[in-house]
Amino acid sequence: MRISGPVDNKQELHVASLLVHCPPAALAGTTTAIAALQGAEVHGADPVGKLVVTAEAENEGEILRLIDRIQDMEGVLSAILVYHEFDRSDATGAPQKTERQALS
Amino acid sequence: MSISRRDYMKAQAIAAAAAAAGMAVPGEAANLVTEREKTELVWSKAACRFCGTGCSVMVATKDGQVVATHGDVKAEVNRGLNCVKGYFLAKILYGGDRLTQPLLRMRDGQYSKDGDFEAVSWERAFDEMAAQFKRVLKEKGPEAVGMFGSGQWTVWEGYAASKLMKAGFRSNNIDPNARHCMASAVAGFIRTFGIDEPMGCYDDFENADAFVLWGSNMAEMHPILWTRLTDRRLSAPHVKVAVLSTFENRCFDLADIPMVFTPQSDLAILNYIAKTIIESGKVNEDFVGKHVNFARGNTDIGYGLRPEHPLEQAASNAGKAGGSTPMSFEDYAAFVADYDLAHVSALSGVPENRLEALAELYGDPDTKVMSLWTMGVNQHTRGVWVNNLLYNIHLLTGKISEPGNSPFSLTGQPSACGTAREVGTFAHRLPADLLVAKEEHREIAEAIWKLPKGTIPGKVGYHAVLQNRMLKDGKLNAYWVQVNNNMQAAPNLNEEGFPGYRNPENFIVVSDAYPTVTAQAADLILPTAMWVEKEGAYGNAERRTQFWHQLVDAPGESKSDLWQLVEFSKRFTTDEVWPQDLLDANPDYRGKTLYEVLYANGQVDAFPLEETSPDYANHESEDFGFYIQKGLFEEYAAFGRGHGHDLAPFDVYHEVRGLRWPVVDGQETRWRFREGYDPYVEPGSGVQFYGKADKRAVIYALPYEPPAESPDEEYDFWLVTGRVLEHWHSGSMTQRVPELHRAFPEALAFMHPDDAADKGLRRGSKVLVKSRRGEIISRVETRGRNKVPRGLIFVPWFDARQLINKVTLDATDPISKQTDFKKCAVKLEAV
Repeated sequence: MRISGPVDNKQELHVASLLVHCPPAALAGTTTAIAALQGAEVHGADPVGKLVVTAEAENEGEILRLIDRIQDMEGVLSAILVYHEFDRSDATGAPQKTERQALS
Repeated sequence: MSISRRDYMKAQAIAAAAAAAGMAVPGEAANLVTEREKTELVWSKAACRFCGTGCSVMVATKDGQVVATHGDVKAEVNRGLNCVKGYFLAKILYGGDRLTQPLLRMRDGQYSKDGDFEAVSWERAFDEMAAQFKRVLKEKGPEAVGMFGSGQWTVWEGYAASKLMKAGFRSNNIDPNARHCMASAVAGFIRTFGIDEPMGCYDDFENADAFVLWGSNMAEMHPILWTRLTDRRLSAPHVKVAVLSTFENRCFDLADIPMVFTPQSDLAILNYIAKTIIESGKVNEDFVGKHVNFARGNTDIGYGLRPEHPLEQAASNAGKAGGSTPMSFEDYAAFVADYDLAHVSALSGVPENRLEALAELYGDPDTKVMSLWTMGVNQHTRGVWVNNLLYNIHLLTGKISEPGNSPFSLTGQPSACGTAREVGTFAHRLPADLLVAKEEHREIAEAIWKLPKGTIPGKVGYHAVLQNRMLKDGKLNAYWVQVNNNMQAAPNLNEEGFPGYRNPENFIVVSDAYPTVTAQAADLILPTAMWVEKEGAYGNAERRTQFWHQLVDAPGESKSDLWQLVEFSKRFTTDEVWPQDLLDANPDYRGKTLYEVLYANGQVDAFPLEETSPDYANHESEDFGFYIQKGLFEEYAAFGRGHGHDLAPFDVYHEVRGLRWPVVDGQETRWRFREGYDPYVEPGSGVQFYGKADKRAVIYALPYEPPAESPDEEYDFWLVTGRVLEHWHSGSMTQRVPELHRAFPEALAFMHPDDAADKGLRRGSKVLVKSRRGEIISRVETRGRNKVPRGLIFVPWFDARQLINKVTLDATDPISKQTDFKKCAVKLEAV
């Protein structure tokens, strides 16, 4: 028997929020760079070097890529996920059936 | 009120992040979160099942499935934050190739070592397994039976396993994979302080003025703790961060003092710091005079290889690796005087001014220093020494056991501390730091377990690396592996691991949720309930014990490791497994099953089913008819209460976000050994290292010695192995989360672009990585998160298609028996 959630992947909206740390001097530059990313938005900054950022995308992979791009930005010291939610028509948010990974 | 679904989700996300950052909440989002949570989903707390940080996560279930997780805002450890692995935690339960039935190698309806896996019932699986174990016990005795467990076992699973092996089968051949991970840290603690685990806690992050990372890539491996460190660095501008590693990793982004050192030269750097502290008059003489002894450790101790290896033959103290002789402070000062700045800088490759700046951090009496380390220190043929040398520096300056002054050994697995170390599932240990080799310790265990004197054997069992060697040599023949992937994780799998598992004399059982490399090398695979499919308890790196309830049912016929251990014990009687003289002297124990003497002993079965929570299932307790987790925990806790390892009553842990032991009179202990924080320290004494009889810690004189294998003309590169952020525990779970797999789909060989150019390689080229033992093909990465120096490559080990442990050397620390996965010599060829 296999446990599997719904596999229909269409019409999803994923929203995540991140806490991003950077040196205070890099706050302005980092804010601009994050705002330039499709799907990312900066909602607040703490002058000690913290930003509250949201990421929106149609799937989790896109969310992860956004986080990766933020993490790899010059000056970013850490980018940590805080919240994630996704919505689709049946609205259960049940987990996806995952792909079998080949083991050779 | 009209608010779009999108706005609603964003408002919740922003509110959560702002709360986690300690910032004012923009807008009016905060209340929305709880409303939806209350109406649609059932949320319960659980400890994350990945690393040793011990984050608490909130887990949402709906219709019998885990549907969401988020960081627990009530948890002191992570304060609502989650790393990428934690974020996808729920998905590890739902990989498409989840095992759901026992699988036995069969041919023509019979078990056959060279047969193919066929689904069988639990009854059939245990029939074969019991027959094989009985055959081996009869032919060769208890020393041919063994078990390999894990720092991912829950507390009661490790405890039940230890009882079954050590008292039931009377074999000490049980070891956890924590041997690969924390053994050097354990031996370091025992040697210096006489008691295991850190004296400080995570509160040190907010109190330190300086952080020094020794062989720990916290930014990727312990991201939540890294966030706390980053937060401290940014909010207190005087704070300094020093990072030492054999290659540049993400932590270097925050480093005020970055240092890339030549492998093994950490030994010399630490002695240079001690010398500088002494010569600049920074020794805390009052502290050292009252609380410290000095000793000269044995040197030339070999490399933990097979005894016939030339390096072992040549080592003068291979058999007495842990020995030492007392010495004076003056002799110690003379010993470290050899480690002068120019010499150490040349040996390590670290510029002199950075070494001086590092020594100044430690020496300055007004700078509170937190040292942090993980596998770079522990996976080291001199790993115990490096642990000892780190403590030397904190002891010389008295910077220990108080807020912010903290030598802190970080932990890899979620319960390496709580289970492997505290329960004592090592080949030489019993609970609460007791040792199998000491008769008085065995007697304590036998009394608590209500077993006859002489039940537990006194001979230290086979440790992890030795188990693989003994499997290969045909001396260990009935073998059970739970919650780990040791075929992939252990070193030198070509020459030791695989031949051992496939040796025709051996019967290998692997309990796992997925068909790992190890499971596929087994003869019997048992499908296993994982994480929140069972009630569990873990203990993290800061001595915090955390519980969770069973939140969902496991798929198919999967059962927890605990159920498997206890159910299997019903298949053996004392008459079958205990020697005649033990039974003659204790006739009351005749004719009993191991289940009866170990688990239905009036203690483990003391708590009725009615005491389990009405809100949660508990598949083991329902099957056995009593609250087995509570019974096991309370019996286990008897070892530590009143002896410096006090745990709170069982039920308390289901209510709180963990407590740090010793828990005395309901109070946890944040800093051990310091009066005012630790109830075990006598009033008026200030500090007592009470793990030692005279309550003094030991500073050891230990030299630089070279590694077991270094690059030469033919094998001209260092190979360092390690982890990446996205994967943990050999990728056996994280590789089944598509998002994590896609983020880091296959292992890469990180190398310097100039080295690549010299070899005719480019980024993305296929490269053959070859040692004297084996080879793999990987792909070259010259950019990205790790920047390695010339002459060194870094290859992560999570990828089952690039088994880098075909290449590594099974050299171990001779004291801790932990493998050095960080240093061997390889050559590279374009493919």
